[in-house]
Amino acid sequence: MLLDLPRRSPAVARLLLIGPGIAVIGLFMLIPLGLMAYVSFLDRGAYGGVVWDQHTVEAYTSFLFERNLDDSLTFNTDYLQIYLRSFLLSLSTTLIALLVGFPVALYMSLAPAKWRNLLVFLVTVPFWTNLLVRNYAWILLLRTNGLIDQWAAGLGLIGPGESVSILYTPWAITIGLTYSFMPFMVLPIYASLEKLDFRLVEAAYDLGATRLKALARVIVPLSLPGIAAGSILVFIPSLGSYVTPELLGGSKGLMIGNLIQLQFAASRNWPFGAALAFTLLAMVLIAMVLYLTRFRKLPE
Amino acid sequence: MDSPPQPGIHIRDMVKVFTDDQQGEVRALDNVSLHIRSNEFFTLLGPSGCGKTTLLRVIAGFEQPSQGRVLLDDLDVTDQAPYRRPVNTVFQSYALFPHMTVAENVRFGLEMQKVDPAAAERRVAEMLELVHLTGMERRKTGQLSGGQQQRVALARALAPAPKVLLLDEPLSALDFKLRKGMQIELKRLQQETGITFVFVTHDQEEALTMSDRVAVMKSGKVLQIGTPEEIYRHPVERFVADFIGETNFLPATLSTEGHPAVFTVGNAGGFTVRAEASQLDQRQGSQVTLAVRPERTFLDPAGHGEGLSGRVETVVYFGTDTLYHVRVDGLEAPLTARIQNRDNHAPDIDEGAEVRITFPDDAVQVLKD
Amino acid sequence: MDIRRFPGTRPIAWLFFAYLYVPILILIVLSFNANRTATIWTGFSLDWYRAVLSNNDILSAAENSLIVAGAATLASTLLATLGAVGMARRRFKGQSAVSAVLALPLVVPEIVTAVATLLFFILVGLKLSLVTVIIAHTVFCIPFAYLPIRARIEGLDPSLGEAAADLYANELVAFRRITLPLLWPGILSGAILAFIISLDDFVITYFVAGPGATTLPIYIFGSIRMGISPEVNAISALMLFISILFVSLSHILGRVTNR
Repeated sequence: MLLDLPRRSPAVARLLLIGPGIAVIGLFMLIPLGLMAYVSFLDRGAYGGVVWDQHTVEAYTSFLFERNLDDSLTFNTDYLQIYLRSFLLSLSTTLIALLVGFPVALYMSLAPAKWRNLLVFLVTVPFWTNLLVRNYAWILLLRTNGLIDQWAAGLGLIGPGESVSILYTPWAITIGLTYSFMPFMVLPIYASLEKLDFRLVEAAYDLGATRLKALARVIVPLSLPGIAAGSILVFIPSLGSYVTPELLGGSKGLMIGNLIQLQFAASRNWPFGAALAFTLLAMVLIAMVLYLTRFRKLPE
Repeated sequence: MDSPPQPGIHIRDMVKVFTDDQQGEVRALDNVSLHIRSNEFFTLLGPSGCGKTTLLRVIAGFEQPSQGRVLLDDLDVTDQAPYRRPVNTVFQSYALFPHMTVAENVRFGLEMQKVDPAAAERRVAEMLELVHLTGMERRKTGQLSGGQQQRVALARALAPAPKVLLLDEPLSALDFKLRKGMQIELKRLQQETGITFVFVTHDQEEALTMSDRVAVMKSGKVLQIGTPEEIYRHPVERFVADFIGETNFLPATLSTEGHPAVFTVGNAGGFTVRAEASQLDQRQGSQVTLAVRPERTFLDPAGHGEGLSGRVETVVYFGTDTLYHVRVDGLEAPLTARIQNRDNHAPDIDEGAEVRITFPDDAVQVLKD
Repeated sequence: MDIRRFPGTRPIAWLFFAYLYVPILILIVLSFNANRTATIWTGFSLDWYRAVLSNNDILSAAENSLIVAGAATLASTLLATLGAVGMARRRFKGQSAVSAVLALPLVVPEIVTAVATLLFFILVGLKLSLVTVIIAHTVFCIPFAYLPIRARIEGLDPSLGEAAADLYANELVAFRRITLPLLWPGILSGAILAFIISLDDFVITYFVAGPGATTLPIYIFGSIRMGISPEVNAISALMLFISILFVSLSHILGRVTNR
């Protein structure tokens, strides 16, 4: 009888409950990711698309080398530079987010209990708003004759008609990425600081530690899991970002995400696009695995 | 399988094996057989992890045994769903439905049994009166104190008039005073309703004061079943003697077989006691352990005559009585004697005093080790 | 000294919150600006909202967005609820693997998911349309719906289900009378989060939306590419309002307790 199923055969009942969700993710995410990896080893068709029976590592070769007319290969760092730029931009975003995020999380965790929930809520709200819109707001601020230029001129920092002019520079990308992903740094650090037993800090003071010593020797080490989680959560989406460099970076501000998108739009080079995406995925997974093996015994 | 000779709960050859990631297979119940009589207050007593809660959950139907049967009166209920068994549970966490009022909680079981609404209403009122919660009907359970939640849980479990009430450490979350009060209250409820109570606890004092009979469990096995007095006065194993109350353990040698047998206490020789050892298969000369309760251990400050000689190490004053810890040569642990104070004055035995230790023959229990 | 205070953290926190909210507030203020140039304030006006609400392209994009978000929310919340209930039962072998799969859409960068999903649809021959968008959205909405429901279940006394069974409720009745009412705030909260995430998604939609399947973010992206304009300010502000409204709702639901 169906009603007795969970008791008589818990494994079957569990399968019926969990199965559909796993099946949907499996069919429309895991299989596509596998397919993408497969496509990256195919030959591109003459007019876009792929040739199914032609297996090649051309996509990965063309990442590092340019094929000349006589079929010889020349080392080409264009794509490597884009990867390096993406990596550095993501790293600086993560560092800035950490430097700002830690004191913010510390302040939040020591705020009166009634305020803490509100502060957490205020940190989360921007995350739930549209990413395009948030980046668009920065265009309004950063563009030539935008609000920052107007304010700077008003304060006499720049002459009228002059511009701070940082839109479409790596600075603009860093600002946009920090703005987009900062909550991911603050929240995990806050979570680990909030769990911290403050009597440990009192014990440190009692044993003669100054504020800075207590911070360096007790608070920071105990919040390391939060710091690690936050860094991963900022670094990964930064590395794969598309919208921010697209809107704030201009034509010279290409990041991995934009390069991938180009292969499916203008270039119509699917195998290369798939290879780029697969490389990005591999980088992200390696970062995840490093994080999990170092900071968690087992993934939950 | 023959039909049970008596009504009540029969547990037959019960085995429950859990597979654990860390420890591998754990036998929570290891071939347990016992009979709980109708209308008795039966307690499963043991340290945590002894299998007492698992046994309770098997009776309730929350766990499927790996082996063995559960019989309720004449009926084999082993394969019956919990919602078909005429058995109700008071959970350790109370498990009151947080989205329902007190009355809705108590009414829930009646509703499920499709009791006529008017009758259910009367029954709810009756139950709330029984547990002294009349007037609390509309409260949400979260607004109640721990003691009140406990009473709601009781009323809810009793409302469907089950044949058996299972109680899983129901008093463990209450503070000392409230717990004492509830012990008396539970005993009264059991007597008034005439329902079989199966009570799980790790608190030996609670078990002794409330139960008609107690089963002492350890590592998935039942070590001894008996009335509180039997268990206290005649523990059969060292574990039981140690777990229930305080006990002095003494090595002894069987010097003369018979009924009663004669034992020589300690290694010094000379001091003998007589005790029944019929449950043991012992020969002359075999080493046994004797158990003697501190309150039946006597001290003679004169220091002459029969008995073990020792030196008082510490004296602890307890108001109604005084504890003496006495070091005896050749014994690992000091012996404890509990002596009642007269006029609230401790007897005149000081620390460091040389004493003789004796105990009457009927205070001695021979243990299988 | 007040040992619970670290000097310097307060101004940094205040600056941080200003940094978070000033751009959003400026966007909202400018959406009410009468001036055509979008960044120079000349007076209050609702003109651009009127323009937005009478623009047929925007209205049809909004309709598409609502269809997609509605369908994806329903599907993902249903799958997530079943999954969360299944995961709450006894621990089982492979549970962490199942957890990992459920969290996968959160880990994989959007652009990678977008590429993989696009290739999949093309190669199995599914024509890009609103349907493909709905499928893709359902997948990445599952973890967002799942997490609040799971958190809610974790907070419940596991004995409650047993108590219901003990009091003669069969599995179905126990689910309807006990589990579902207690999970409801979590389910609603999860559904709202799934809805916002779907409504706001751009990257994946950009890849898998066929012609005629333009959603609001796609429309906004197109407009931003054309340059800033007061209409974009207004539609962006509208998107902000909707998100903030829903996330506040979800927050309030998440704090509903039974006490």
